[in-house]
Amino acid sequence: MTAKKQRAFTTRMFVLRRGDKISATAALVVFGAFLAASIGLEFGTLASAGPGLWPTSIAVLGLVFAGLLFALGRDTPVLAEDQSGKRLLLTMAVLVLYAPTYSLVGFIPASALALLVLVRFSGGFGWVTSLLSAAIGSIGVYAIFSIGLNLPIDAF
Amino acid sequence: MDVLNGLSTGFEVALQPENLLYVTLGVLLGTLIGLLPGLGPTAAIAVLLPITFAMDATSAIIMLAGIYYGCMYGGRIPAILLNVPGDASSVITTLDGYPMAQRGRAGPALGITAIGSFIGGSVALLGLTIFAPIVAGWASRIGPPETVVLAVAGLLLASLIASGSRIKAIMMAAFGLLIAAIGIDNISGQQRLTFGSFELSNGIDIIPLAVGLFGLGEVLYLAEKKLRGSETLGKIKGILPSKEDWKITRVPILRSSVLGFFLGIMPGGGGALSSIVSYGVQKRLSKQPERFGKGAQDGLAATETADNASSNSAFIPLLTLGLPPNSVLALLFGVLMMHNVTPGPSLIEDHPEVFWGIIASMYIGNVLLLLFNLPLIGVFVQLLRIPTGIMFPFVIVIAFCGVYSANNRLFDVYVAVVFGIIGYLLKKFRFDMTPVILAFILGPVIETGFRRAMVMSDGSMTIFFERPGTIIMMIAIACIATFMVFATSRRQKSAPADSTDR
Repeated sequence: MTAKKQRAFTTRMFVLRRGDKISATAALVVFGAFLAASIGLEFGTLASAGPGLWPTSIAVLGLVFAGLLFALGRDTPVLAEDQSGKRLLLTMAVLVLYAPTYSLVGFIPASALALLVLVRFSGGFGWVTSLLSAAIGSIGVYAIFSIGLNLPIDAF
Repeated sequence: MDVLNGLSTGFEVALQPENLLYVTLGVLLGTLIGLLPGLGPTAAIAVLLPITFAMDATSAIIMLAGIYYGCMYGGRIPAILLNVPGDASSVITTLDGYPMAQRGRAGPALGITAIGSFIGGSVALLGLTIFAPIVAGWASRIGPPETVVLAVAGLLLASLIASGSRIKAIMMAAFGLLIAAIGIDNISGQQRLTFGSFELSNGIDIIPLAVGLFGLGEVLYLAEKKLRGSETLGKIKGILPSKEDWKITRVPILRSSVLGFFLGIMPGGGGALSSIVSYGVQKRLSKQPERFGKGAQDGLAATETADNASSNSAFIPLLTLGLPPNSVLALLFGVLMMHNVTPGPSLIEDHPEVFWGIIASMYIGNVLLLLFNLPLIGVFVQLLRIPTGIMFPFVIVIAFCGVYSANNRLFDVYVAVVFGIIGYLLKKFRFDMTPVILAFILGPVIETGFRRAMVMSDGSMTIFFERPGTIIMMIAIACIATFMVFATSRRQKSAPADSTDR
């Protein structure tokens, strides 16, 4: 086994064995952040509750259950298929970059680019299919949503 | 307004040409989206919801309700033909539907599904018509303490019967409650949980949350799987079940209609749970239980009938109490609120055209489902040949359109992407997302109700234990919770893994 594969295997086993501990730790951070944000708000009294009482109570509840998950959780995460990391990262990149691209060039070019990249590199189809899907898809969806349904979307 | 007058009003609304068009489109679109494996009714409604922005409240809900049960049926087609469930509730369909297809009886399997769904839906709609006004009348007498107990119970029950760990489900409910609290406090007008962001001071909108968690999260999750190409599908022959099929399935269909109706009213009881419980009951009552899992028509009929019955009866708590029992109806609740219509005890009085219009349109939608799905099954099957490697990128583009056009803000798109990544991670680590969306919707109801109850009682928690209404509710809910936890524990022992409700 190469060193790279060995590292990948070790990471995979680490995540598999400690899946619930990892997710519980993340949850503790998230609920902790909510608690920190709400603890500075006014609590009031039960008869006249302030804005801070409710979110603080729920954040504490979340922390308690995250702690229970850390202590008691035994689930393993869902395994990904081999060679799927690239497809996932590609899809994630398209999602993250879609909105900024739209603000630069408009809906049709941004959507055409997104469709082209996903159909070609994630779907594994040829250039002709990908280009056709991109062209028809971007124009078709724009036509339906902007013209047909009169929703405010800028074409270019 | 009595039932007959109400229905008459409802049909006047539902039979308007534009509403007939919307319910037809909704059923068709829902069936199409349901064909896509992995995208369940919640994702379908989240992604298609923006189509309804330009409509009035009644038309919007009519269309979305059509999408809902169209999607439930659509998920059956790949489940039966390809052993690929379209959503969580069609997992059980594969157990007997696919073996029937393998024996060359795909047509009758699809026919049993369509007809069983129609009968289950019809029985449930009769129950909805009769019981909804009664429940609405009773619900108008409840106050803030009863509202809080019902809403908390609904959330708790949905968390207890969620797939997977209950600790995780309650964490998800807490997460949803906190997301709902972001923005401006309704009573004091103070900003909270905005983390210094101006954009967050308006709170998180339901559309980017739902599209992100259920739509984009699912797309990311499926991006890891090897997307299948077009399938080799044979020709479907003989859609109608035989006389022998009818003889075997008629009693299970009637029984499952009633069972599905009652399960659908309970929080989390629709969809997968009603399918599984009904299948289990039918197997237990069958004289030949060894046939189950090998193409038992009665097993298939039981699960499909209960599923559609529960989809319809789930509207009772939404319309009469303002408490959505599942994630799909939580979205419909959000849509009604967006149109300034508050579901709840006063809906039948304040907006009878909405209340009865929705019920009447469900009768029409139920008939349309049968009319479309029997003759058009060949067309839907052809759509299965479109590779998912092409279909799913379209979902991303449509989702972007929908999220952006809700408020014309790119911030909402970024929120959807963030929740998409969160949704992907939650699914990977086996968290059920249904409690998040339910808690998001019910959070403001619970908080506002609780604060009002505390004002009524001058800060004393005993108000929840002094009123007969709250005591009766707590006892009833404890009994229901015990039954549902028992039923779910049996489900988790016997059903396949990865059956997260969407």
